[in-house]
Amino acid sequence: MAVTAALPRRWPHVTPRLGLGHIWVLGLAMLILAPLGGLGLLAAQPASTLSLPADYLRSAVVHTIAITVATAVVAGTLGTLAAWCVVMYRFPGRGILSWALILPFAVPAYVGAYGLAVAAEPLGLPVRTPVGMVLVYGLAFMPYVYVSARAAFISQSVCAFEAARALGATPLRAFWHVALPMARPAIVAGMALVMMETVADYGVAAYFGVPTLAGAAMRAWLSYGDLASAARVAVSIAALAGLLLLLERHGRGHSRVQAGRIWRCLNTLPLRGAARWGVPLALWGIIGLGFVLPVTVLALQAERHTPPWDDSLQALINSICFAVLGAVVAVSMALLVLQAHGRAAALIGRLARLGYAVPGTALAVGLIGVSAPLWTLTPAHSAASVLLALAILLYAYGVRFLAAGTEPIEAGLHRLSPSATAAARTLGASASAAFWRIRLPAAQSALWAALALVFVDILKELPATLILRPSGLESLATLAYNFASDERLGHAAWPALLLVAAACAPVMWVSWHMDRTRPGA
Amino acid sequence: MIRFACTIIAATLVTASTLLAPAHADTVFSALRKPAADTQIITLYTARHYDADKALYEQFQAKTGIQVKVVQAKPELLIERLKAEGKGSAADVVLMADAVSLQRTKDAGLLQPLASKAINSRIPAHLRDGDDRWTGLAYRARVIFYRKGAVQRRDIASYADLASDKLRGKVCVRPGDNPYNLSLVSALIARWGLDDTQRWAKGLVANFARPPQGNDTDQLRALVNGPCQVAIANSYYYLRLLRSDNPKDRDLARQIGVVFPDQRGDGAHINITGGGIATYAPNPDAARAFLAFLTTDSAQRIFAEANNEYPAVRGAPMPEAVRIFSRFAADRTPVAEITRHGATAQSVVDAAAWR
Repeated sequence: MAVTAALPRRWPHVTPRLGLGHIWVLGLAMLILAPLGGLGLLAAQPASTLSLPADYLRSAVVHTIAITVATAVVAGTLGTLAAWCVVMYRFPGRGILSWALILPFAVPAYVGAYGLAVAAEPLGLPVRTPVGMVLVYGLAFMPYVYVSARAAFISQSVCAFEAARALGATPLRAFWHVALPMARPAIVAGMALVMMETVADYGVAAYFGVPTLAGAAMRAWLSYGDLASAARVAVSIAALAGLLLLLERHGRGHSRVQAGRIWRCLNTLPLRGAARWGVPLALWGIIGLGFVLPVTVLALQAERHTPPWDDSLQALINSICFAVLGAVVAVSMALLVLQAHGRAAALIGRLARLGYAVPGTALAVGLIGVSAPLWTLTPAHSAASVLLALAILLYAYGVRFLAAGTEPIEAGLHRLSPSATAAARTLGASASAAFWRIRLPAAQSALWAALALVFVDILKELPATLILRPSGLESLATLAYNFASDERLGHAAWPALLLVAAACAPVMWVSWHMDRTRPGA
Repeated sequence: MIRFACTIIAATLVTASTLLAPAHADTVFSALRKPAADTQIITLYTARHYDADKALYEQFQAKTGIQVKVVQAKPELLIERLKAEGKGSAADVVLMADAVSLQRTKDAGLLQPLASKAINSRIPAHLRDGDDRWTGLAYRARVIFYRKGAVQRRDIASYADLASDKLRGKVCVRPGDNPYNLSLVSALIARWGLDDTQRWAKGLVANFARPPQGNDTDQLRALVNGPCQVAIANSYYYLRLLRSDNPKDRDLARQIGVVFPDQRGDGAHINITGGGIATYAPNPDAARAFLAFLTTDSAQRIFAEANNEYPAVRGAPMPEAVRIFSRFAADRTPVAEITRHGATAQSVVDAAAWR
């Protein structure tokens, strides 16, 4: 068994020189942190005399922390167990389930909440509660952990697992003591994404009427007209996210244990008895609640009304345009962040991911202030002003979804053996050459996965798009929102269904691609 | 890596190839095409999110040849954006869907005087700003609905009755932090003072049939299909159900009765849709023409026809179903009086635990 021992975390000390790489990172850091800085400036202004009552804030803080932790546990457990079952065992329907389990990712959380409410309320189930929120978030964000865990389990070496079994461990013990620790960095990374998404979400909390920090920020701004307090709450959400990221770093562990390099086909075990039907039933249950239910509810709403075809097609074109360009921007920024080496760069990289936890509205408002001088430069109604608005929107997407871009790529890079990089450095390549020419090409599948994930995230994104979109242009999410806020849910269902359909393709592709990433497969 | 880069370029080109989209489509690509040299354009910053408004813009363009570009966002966002853009702002006209937002826009110094004889002559004074910074264009009422046969009309003749013991467990309304409710509470504070309104809010909460959930239309549906016997909602949601293409909606509406409260007192609470000319408008004359156009009969009719709002212009044409429900005494308190209680209203709602 060839498990590489823990490597030193820093390369042998070389006299540091301020190279181009450092300037890149510094520039990028300023670019990424600018909207947060804008928020900070707003937060520094004096608050209105009449603002959020203290007990409302307290309740919001308690709810946010409880819901976030509970969601991470639920999503983490569901995602890890689902990934393990799908990778290691054989049961009826395994092939379909392995990609279908990512489908809940194609459904925006607020649509899932609506579906659950419509289905559960006639049955008298209290769904507009923190517990209901945990259920909605857990199902909606479970794919983050599922994707990470599945990639980790697929690329693990069988040898460690078989050695454990040969030494007498039951499959359960082997899972708990061998497979799980090896997959821990990936699982924890997935859970960090889940927590940041939960903290930043506003739609579900507003719909269910549960006080959360994101909701408190919106209430301070919309009801009390107190932008300074709202900005302060948003900054504290970012701080909470920073804490979560620190915990994640701790949770990943310090060793860089690499799986062995002997690749054989994974020996999948057939399930017998009750488990043979129980497991696929449970997995289909997850897909049913997280995907089939909201889509069915939407379809039932939609069929009552004539579809707004013109608007929806225009919105589809715009959505795809925003999402493709935004994914390219976000992943490029992610690559620039990841290629930087050194401690300062690593710190900046971690700070950059905070964008994911800041509610889209807060980010956009921070950007409006920062981008104000730019508006004076472009003449009104020109192509330049449209391009400027588009550029600011893409910039906002980049900052917001940087974490979604870096996590998969980083996980992919992490799985690579360091010997190729070591060889390149020995032969005289610089660290960044080693990154761009050796490590990144080997982790290409991770790059595609990152693009696909950010594409879907942008398709679903609502608040920042609402605020920053060039005049008159709707995306599918904003179109659905406009209909829904006019209480025309039947009309809103059509763009929402188109959104889910457009998101399904990259989601399924990511899953199919992951199956082929096992070396030697 | 080269293969990756090529695929990205290909994807971007495919996206760009949707230049084949029809010329009138509102896509990124049509937006980038330069408008014809002699086309005048005005930019409208609107908080109204109604599909029906497109008819207004198209009619204006057909009549005057001036193209209308629309920036649509929540009112607070428009205000922040206007403040941030300052002198460089492209906004010509600002339209808001509620009175509090109009007042906030004016207070932030974002509107210039209208100076339009057409508007002054057609819109009644109580629906216009005292300082001529904005004008109302249409209004709607927030009134009391009930399941026919479930309660006596005289028991819900006033907003104050909603807090009376007779209605224990019968009342439904959407969550308290919704702008429509905050506007109503602000108006009540202007009428009764803070303490009485606080007491009323607590009494109202004690009368809830269920925890506040859903939107106004949900409350109306729950009058027939749910536990509610009395509900508070905006007039146009009811009118929309009454005039719906769906026969089930029409049946539902026929089982619901309407009471316009306080007809012998201060009148029913109304909320105004209105607009003004932005302070740094690049094209203020065209902006004035647009607002004046919105007060013409044909435009006023669209407000009523498409969105079931009441036209601000007296005598403007409206569909019969809307007309039947338009004869009521409305609250004539000046908007500025009501809106200055905006933040207090939220604290009243919070103190009463009106989630």
